[in-house]
Formats: sequence, structure tokens, C-alpha cells
Amino acid sequence: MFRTTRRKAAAGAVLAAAALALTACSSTTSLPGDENEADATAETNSVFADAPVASDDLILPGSTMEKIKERGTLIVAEALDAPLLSQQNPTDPDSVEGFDADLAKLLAIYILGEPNVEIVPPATETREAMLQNDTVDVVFNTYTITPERAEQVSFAGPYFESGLAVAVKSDNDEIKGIDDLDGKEVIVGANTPAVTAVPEQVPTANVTAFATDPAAVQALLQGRGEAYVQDYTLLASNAANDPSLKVVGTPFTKEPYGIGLKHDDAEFKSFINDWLLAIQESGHWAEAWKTTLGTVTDSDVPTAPEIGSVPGS
Amino acid sequence: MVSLRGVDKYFGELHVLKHIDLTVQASEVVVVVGPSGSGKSTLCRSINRLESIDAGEIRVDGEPLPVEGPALAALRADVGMVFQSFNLFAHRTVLENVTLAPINVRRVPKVDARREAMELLDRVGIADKAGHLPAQLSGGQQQRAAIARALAMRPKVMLFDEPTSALDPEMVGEVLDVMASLAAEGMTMIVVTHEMGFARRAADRVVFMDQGQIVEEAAPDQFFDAPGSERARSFLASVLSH
Amino acid sequence: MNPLIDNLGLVLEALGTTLLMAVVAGVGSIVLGVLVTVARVSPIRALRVAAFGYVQFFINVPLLALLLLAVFALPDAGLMLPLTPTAIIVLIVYEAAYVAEAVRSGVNTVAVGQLEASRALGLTLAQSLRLVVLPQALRAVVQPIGNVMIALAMNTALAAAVGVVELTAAVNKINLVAAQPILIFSSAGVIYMGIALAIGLAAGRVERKVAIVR
Repeated sequence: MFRTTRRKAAAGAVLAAAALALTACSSTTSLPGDENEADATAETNSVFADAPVASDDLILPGSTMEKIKERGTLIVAEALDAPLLSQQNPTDPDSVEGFDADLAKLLAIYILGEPNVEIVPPATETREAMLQNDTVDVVFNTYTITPERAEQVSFAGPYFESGLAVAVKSDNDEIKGIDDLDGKEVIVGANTPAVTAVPEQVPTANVTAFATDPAAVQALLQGRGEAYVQDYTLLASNAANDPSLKVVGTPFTKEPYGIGLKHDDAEFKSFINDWLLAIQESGHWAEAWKTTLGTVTDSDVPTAPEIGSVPGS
Repeated sequence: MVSLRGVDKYFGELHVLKHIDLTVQASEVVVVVGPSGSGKSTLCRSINRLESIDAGEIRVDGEPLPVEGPALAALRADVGMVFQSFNLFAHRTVLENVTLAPINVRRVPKVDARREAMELLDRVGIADKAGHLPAQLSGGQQQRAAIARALAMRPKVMLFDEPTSALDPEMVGEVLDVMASLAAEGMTMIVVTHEMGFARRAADRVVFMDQGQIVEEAAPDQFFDAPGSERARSFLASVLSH
Repeated sequence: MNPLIDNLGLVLEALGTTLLMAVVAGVGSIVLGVLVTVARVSPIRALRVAAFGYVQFFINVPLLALLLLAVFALPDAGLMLPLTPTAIIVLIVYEAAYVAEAVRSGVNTVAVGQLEASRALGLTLAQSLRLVVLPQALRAVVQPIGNVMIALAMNTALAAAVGVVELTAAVNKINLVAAQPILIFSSAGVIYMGIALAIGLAAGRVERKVAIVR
């Protein structure tokens, strides 16, 4: 149901995106009422029913987990404008929905017994800093694990593996995948893996970065570029909602998403890896996928990536 | 040269000019005196339409005053005005103050404008200050520069609106001397002033105003020696008693 | 090692774009701002109202919203310019409102007698504004206009949101790989501070040079 407004009024959607971006830039406060909302959702939503809760002996004395438990809230860096992953509900701004958002709530339940999550909106540019100076406990933000980043922060997971794909206008029959982007104008999302991946794959492509996904889609449809490179799942959801664009080819990168933690917090890292295994076994991971990312593809629930399987994790 | 017929002017409720009739002949020097608030400054400023009037008619050189626009600008170019507070252009040198209007309004070539400006500055005795900014001059020097600036437009008539009221006493004389020499050369002048000595010495006619009306018009000797009205007598008594 | 130095070529090129936007938009906004001020003090009521509306509109609408509108709404109206010129135009019309406010406050410092004297000499209103009032008004507001120019230079960073590869966009891109935001954004901050300092110093010099002794 998100972004149904776009076809009605493109400019309206853009302004809404501007408003979101402004909120994101200017605020590190939690969303009022978010915790209550999460409580209410937990009772009615199958994703959170019977979710695993860590036994008391796992909350080690002096650990990050204990600190969170004493505080009673898990502080998470996550987006408010990433459809299917972590998006503020346009009709109910207190509710943040998507795969990343649900996993964050599941982790909160694991530590606290209830989905008390305080969201510090994205600041994609400053995720490392937010972990280093204890602004947040964890980052759920389509945070691709890389060796460079692993020098600054630690990653639990990977908890999901995605990849970048190419979208074009529906009437474009010339571009069939990443290999057809030579010398083309290519749109990407600012601060997404595509910013570096596209020039690596297609050095001759002329890359233009837009701040938000709605802005990038708008730019593609208005012809500022011939292709839009973005996370495959996100593109699939865009295409499902708007017949004027389509996804071509298959993902050309592997983006293993990790949960960002403070560097060298080994206790917390192994605690979260244990939790990931627990929700994979209990089926909560699959349920979270089905109700979010799974709604825009026909494929089966993917196999969760193996913990610690990529460099940097 | 200048004629006012039945001129009325209000500031809101205040009736500042009450049915003024006044005619000034070419080469005539008319000095307007009267107590503060009598309307004499307003009268002076209405002649080049810095103040608009509510009724009546003002003619300069036979032409009725046009409404705001190019025609009025052209008329103002022919009417020189000297203000109480000098109003020299603060960001321009004395020489530039004098040449600005001839160059931009009269389209006089710059070289000619400068030459004529230097002659005028020499005539008012401040040629050595040509390159100075107004703020570097004394009040008397500034007012003489302002007179030179007005004269540079070769005006048909000169209006002086209390030209010495803002000056220190020792500088009043130098300005009045310049004005007196202008009068002697036959310039048509309307002078609003409190300087009774100047009025007696240089005026062809003295106009006495009080409460928005012209109460008395007379030759200077007659006005000062035998004023015809009680109001003029009491005014003269108050200004001459000290 | 500072990742910005490792990517010096990209940083310099992006800094060039930032400076280009700041200079072109700076000059443009001063010219347009002065014209808006002239309209605001003109005797024509329609012009005054339009200028007032202009200033109020651009002071009350966020620059980011204007950038997004210009980049995404204008193409729907059939007008599509490249991104950098679009951003520069938006910066010009936006900052012109602030320049106009500054210049208007300068006009208010010019004594009424200055205008009366120029009108009495036969200068038209346009000549009076151009030769007497505006030169004095501008001299009085060098420092405020300098501040608007500093804000403009900082505001060029918002163009990163609409795809212009200026300093902020380049720095974001470098950080995406290097993942050292504190170091990288502090360094970028130092560059922006340098730009602000340069504008501030230049404004100070100009102000001392043109100051009017009264």
C-alpha cells in the first residue's frame, strides 16, 4: 500500500520524500508512541508471536546486553524511508515497517521480552560514528559487510543476502542488464552500494546519485537517466507498484547485509549471532521475510546466509 | 518666474498652507520669514513638488507643475534647491556631487562638467576640497558645495530652505556671502531663513508667514522699520531682541 | 591516512563544482536580490506587492523542497535542465530573497534627504536609486550580504540530494567505502569552514574599502 500516491501526484510524492529527508537529517529523537505501537503490533502480528527470548544466564554481567536490558529499550539506527525494509507508515507515522524493522523488534524481544525499539533515523553517512560514540546499540540499515567497514565496526550476521539489479522504463528494450550500461546515464541511490559498484562494473557509465528511492525512481521516469541500479528487492517492489518501470537481468552483485555493532564487542556479536540462529530455527526469520520482502516476489523463502560466511563478518 | 495661486496644503488635519498667492519675478530675491511651523519651509518645498499640494496651482516659468514623472524631473532640473541639512551625496567626492546631475541629467560631457564644476567650486571658495568626501568638510563648506551643486544645473530659480539653520554661527557668514553674491548677479531666489540681516541686505521683498498664511509682503526697509501687522511686529520683536 | 587525500582528484573536482555553484549563484543572487529590492521600494504598487510576495515565499519554503520541486516537478511541466544548472538557478532565486532583505535594510539606512537632493537635481527615480540610494545601501550591508553568501556556500551541499556531484556528494561517496565518517566529515567540514572564512574575510576587506564616512 505504500507509495500508491506516486501515480496520482508525482510532485506530492517528491515533497513527501523531502519531508522525510528533512526529518531524517534534523532529528535523532525517537518516535513518540513507537514503543506502544510496537506492543500493540506484537500481539496481533504473527511475526512476533512466540518469538525467542534469551534466558537470563545469556545476559552476561557488564555486557552490552545487560546495559540494554537495564535501559529497557533497544536503540537502533534504521531508515524511515526504505520500502519493505524499514519505512515509516505514511498513514500511521508511529509505525515503522519492513524486514529490517521487524528484525530489530525481534532482537528487542530477545533481550527485553518486548519489542521496545527506539529508532534513530538513518544518517547512512554516519553509521560508524553512531556505533563508535554509543548513540545506538545496533545498526539495521541494509548495511553491507565489507572488510573496510569491519575495521571500524563489527558485524553480526550476515542476516540477509541481496544484490544490486538494474531497472529501466518499461518501454526500454535496449538495456537488458548491467552489461548494457556502457556510456549510459545511470541513476543510483546516494549512500547505497551501487554508488561504488556501478563504476566498478561499468567504468564508462555516468552515475548520478539521488538521496531517496522515490527521487531516484522519479528521475528515471523523467529521463534523467536510462537505468536505475538499486537493491533487487527494492526494485522489484517499485516495479510491482508502478508498471512504468521494470527490472531487467538478475542481480549482479552479492550484498551481504550485517548488523552493525560497536567494534570488538565480541560478547554482543556472538549473542546476536546466537539470536539469528534462534529466529532462523523458530521460523520467525522466514515469517518476517514473507510479510515484507516476500510480498513483491513469487519466489520461495530464501535460505538465510550462513553466519560469518563473508569477509568482515 | 514663479507663481502660486490659491495653494492649499494639509498634513492630515493640519492646514499648513492656507490659500497662498505669491508671484516671484525673474531676478527677484524673495525672502520668506516667519515663526517655526508657519509653513514657510513647506511653501518652499512645494515649488519643486517635493511636497505635493492639495489645491491651487503652481507655475514655474509659466509652466504648471507636472505630476511625478520625466516632465517633473525636467522641471526640477531647472529649479535649484539648497537644503538645511546640505544633503550632499555621502559616497561621492565634492566634485562628483557637483558633476553628477549635469552628466546624468543634462548629458554634459564629463570633461566639460568637471571644468564647470571646478569653476563653481572656485567661485564658492572650496576648489581645494574638490577631491574630498562631504564628511571631511565643515558645515559651511558643505553648504557652499551644495550651492555649487545646484548652480551646476544652471537653474532658472534657486530655492533655499533654511540654508544656515544647521550651521555653527561662525560659518553662517560664508554661506550668506555666497548667496548675496548670487543675488547681486541677478539670480531669481526664494530664501526661507531666520537671518534678518540677510533679508534686509539682499532681499527685494520680504514675505512674512504665520500659521500657514502670508500675513504681509513688503520691501525690506518697510517690513523691518514699519511692519504693517501686529503679528509681524511681535515676531520681529522676538527675533531682534537678542 | 585521510581517505579524502587518497581520493584527492575526486575531492578537488567536486570542490570545483561547489565553488562554481557558490560563485555563479552568489553573483546571480546579488543581482536578482538588488532588482527585487528596487521593486520593493518602487512607487508602483503591483511591483511592491510582487516583490514582497517573492521574498516571503522564498524565505518560508525550505531550499531542499525547492530543489526537489525544480528537479522533479519542472520536467513534468516540460522543462528539463541538467542538474547543476538547475541547482544553481534554484540557489539564485532562493538566496536572492535573503539578499533583498539585506539590501532593503541598507536602503533604510540611507537618509531621506539623499533621495530628495537627487530628485531636486532632476534625476529620475531610477537614476536616483542607481546613482545615489543603492550605492550607499550596498555599502552599508556588505557584511550582511557576506553572511548570505556564506549561507549560500553551505547550502550548495543540499544539491547533493538531487544528484549534483559537489563536495558533500563526493565525501559521502568516499565514506561509503572508507567508513570513517568522523574523520571524513570533519575534514569536509574544515573545507567548508575555509570557504566560509574566505568569504568572511573578503567581505571584511570590501567593507573597510567602501565604508562611507558620515
